Amino acid sequence: MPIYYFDTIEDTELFPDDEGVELQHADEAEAMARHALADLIRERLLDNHLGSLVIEIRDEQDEPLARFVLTSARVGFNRT
Amino acid sequence: MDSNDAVQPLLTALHIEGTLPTEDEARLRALSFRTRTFGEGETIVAEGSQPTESCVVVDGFAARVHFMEDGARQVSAIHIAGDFVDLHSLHLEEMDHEVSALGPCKVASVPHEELQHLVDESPHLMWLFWRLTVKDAAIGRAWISALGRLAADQHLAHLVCELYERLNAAGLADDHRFSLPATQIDLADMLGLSSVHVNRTIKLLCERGLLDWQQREIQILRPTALKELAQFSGEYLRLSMSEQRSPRRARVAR
Repeated sequence: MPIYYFDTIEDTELFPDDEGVELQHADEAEAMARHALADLIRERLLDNHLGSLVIEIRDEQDEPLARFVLTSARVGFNRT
Repeated sequence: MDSNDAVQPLLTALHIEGTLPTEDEARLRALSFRTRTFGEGETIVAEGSQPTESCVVVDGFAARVHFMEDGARQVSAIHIAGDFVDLHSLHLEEMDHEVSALGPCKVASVPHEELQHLVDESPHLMWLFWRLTVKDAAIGRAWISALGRLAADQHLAHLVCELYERLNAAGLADDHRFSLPATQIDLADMLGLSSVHVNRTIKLLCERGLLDWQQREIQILRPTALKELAQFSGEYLRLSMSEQRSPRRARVAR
């Protein structure tokens, strides 16, 4: 089975995946990336940590397969 | 491996829980242990099976695994050498979960009939086995609380603190180091997280100087800070020495 790697970039910080996960198909890798994003964004929002969150899927040849990007921001409305 | 090697980790685990009189030790040594070795991820006891024997981990780690209908997996416990993984099956008609090897794992099985005979003969051994299951339940409660209420970094820290204390108590780790043959997927299924989140959380704890985690070798660099982060207190792993509280147990202990 092919191995997929999931690198995370939180704001400017890169967390490279050096272990990877064996999966049957790229669809599964995408589902896993979405699951991970949901996991990570929940924690960041609870910590009041806004900004950008990126997950990049790589294959064994280091070729990028897909990139998921989430940005979160507080939009302030001033009360008069 | 002969029966002696197979029984040693169990004797160590029981010694942690209380006095083990020589006649009880002899009874345990006389059990007919059947040892088997499993490779990483292999099933030791299958879900839905009706075991006629219970197994003790002799070397390595075993995991209790639950499979959901959509294929998701949840690990509800890790067992270390000396743990009677499967004392449940003495009472369960049918396994409601699977036990599988976390990395290479050696287990020794004992027929239920012999175990039944053992506890019929020795109330003290029954008491010690009871304590083992009480401790399993305490660990289970700690896992549920961590799973439900701790953030990823705290939860992973909690797992590391707990495993180290258990391994250390059994004489299987010291100097704040141990090896854990778990993949990121295994860890994700223990912590209820995605494996990507686990990878990032390991890196985060390493970056903060709390841990070193290389190739399944873990070293706790700042034990106090790690425990604080995890809100970990090992009290649930240390049962009361209630031997002294029961006159009968105190007699056995003498």
